[in-house]
Amino acid sequence: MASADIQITISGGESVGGVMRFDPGGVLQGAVQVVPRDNFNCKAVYVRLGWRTEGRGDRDSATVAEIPIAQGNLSANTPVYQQFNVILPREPWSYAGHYINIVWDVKVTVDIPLAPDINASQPFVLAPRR
Amino acid sequence: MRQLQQSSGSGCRKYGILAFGVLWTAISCCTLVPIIVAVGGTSFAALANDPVSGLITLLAGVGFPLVFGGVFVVIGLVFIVVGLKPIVAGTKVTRPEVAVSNDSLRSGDEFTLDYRQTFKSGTDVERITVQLILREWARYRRGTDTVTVTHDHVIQAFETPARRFEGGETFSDRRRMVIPRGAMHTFQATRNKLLWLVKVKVEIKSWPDFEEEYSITVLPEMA
Repeated sequence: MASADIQITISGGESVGGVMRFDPGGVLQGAVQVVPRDNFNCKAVYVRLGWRTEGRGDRDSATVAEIPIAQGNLSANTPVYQQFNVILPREPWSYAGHYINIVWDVKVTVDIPLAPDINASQPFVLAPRR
Repeated sequence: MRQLQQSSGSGCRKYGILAFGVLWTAISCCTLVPIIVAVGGTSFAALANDPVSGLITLLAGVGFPLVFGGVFVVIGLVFIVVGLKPIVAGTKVTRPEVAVSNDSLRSGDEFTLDYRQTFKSGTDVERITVQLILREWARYRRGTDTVTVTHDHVIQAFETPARRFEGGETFSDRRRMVIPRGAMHTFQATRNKLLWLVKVKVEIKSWPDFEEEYSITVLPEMA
């Protein structure tokens, strides 16, 4: 089964309790490194930035940016590296409540034909300074 | 000042419960009555021939559908009573006029809320409560059912103590309210919502409470 080590780093925000906080409308700078553990063919490797709800209700979600960074054959131990900048939307802000949480993250998906995708994500907070 | 409109959900819910209750009771009665008439007719004929066994047939034949169907009728009547409560409450007071000083509120903004309500007849009011609420609204599927849950965060609450209002008298109140700095903005997705509301409750002595909700919009901006 195909596997890969994925590293996501984000910057440009303010570190609050180990999580990066970004201002609505600000710029998120990021870098992704995917290191395949073996040779495999993939449909695509995407970096997606978006939000989703968590909690009691069924999930609502939206992807606000999608960046394809690779496709085709990936070779073992040959890193795929990509830097990116995304202008963040003004809403919705991150939220943690009783029934509803709104969670933002940068997610890397390696889409492999006829096999489970390989995913990794890095959450962040989208909220103004209080 | 901008006049607030009643939250659409509360009006629909109010009349929806009543309509559901009337429909439920009507269907229950339409099903129950013909069964009782049919079974009862047969049992009365048997009663004329043999009083003892006829009485047993009558009780068994009519009693079971009466008890079983009666439960459905009672459920329908409960819905009707619950649905009628706000209408009955509205016979004592007019619909309030609720206005806010600022209709584009941001997180951290202060605003003034004006409240005016006229009493139609002499009324002993136990309490008038005005609350600023952030409501979490979530909907999910469980099997074939759709379940909606809500949780209210009361941000501010004001109470007017008990007093008597004469017919034609108008109650006026002005309150300063604050959307706390950093508080979440209004968020409306398909299955999850965060709604800001002003909830008004007039508790009337020996009478159903008058309750209404008014939605306000908080923009995703800081004051």
